[in-house]
Amino acid sequence: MPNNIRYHFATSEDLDFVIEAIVESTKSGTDRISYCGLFSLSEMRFREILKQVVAEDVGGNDFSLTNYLIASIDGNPVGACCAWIEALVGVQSNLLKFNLLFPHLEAEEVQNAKNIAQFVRPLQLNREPFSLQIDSVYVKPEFRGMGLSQKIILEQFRFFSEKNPEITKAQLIVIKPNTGAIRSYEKIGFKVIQEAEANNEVVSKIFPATIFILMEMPLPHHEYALRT
Amino acid sequence: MQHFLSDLTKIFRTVFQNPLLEISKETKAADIDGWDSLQHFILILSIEKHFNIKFTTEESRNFLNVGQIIDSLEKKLNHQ
Repeated sequence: MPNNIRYHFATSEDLDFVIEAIVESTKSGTDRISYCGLFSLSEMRFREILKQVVAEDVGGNDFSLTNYLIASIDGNPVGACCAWIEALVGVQSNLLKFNLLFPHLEAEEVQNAKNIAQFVRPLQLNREPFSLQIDSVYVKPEFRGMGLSQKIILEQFRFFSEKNPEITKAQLIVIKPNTGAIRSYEKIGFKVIQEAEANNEVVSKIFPATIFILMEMPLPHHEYALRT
Repeated sequence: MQHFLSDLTKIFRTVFQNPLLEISKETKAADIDGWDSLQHFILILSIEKHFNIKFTTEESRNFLNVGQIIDSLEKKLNHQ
């Protein structure tokens, strides 16, 4: 593990790297982006919309710039992790995110989501209000295998535990085939608590997976350490 | 306001397929079964179609309850 890792919350200078983190973590090693499938968007168009939405930095969801903690080595960003407190403003992060996306989409793109909503709906997992949500955990390929993703998550835990000691639980959503990520989260202390499956042709064609998993762990508010 | 609430009630009843559904300015997603992110999209799309309008990012980002949707409709339609 390199000992010259520095952490900072994302600024406008990190926007491109945050977009990379969102896109690549959504793909989860596949070539599919759920949002592209849902709204029938090209990856380029999705990136354009994403850039505008993330730069707005509304907070409370994974499309918000300053929710991202960036890990840098020698001044270059190598990893990112998003975190926020769910429904702190009184609305679920998913609804908030869709509110932000909506005005950027054309009518036929929204209509596409409406047409396939019934097939996608079984994949939805409910994040618990007032829990800490971890999302879009990403490490550049050449820096993987060093436990960097776990280190960034733990840094987010430290930050939120100091700032919001009343938060007692952390959650994240991951796709089932991503066993490497699941093992990595289990080493921190996350456990699988719920699975959502949409075993139909529509989801199989356009989503990176047909099973999504909700994991959670208590935030014990003491020194966090990896389990060996 | 009452006119918007009456129209929205009809839209909500159609979108959530509940002919008895009652809403108020305080109604939020957690109060209605099935008001998830996908249904929210369908709801906003239906409202836009009904009133023949297009919401901006500044408007839609505040849609946390029915009252905020009505506020946007009032500003948008009463100033046309």
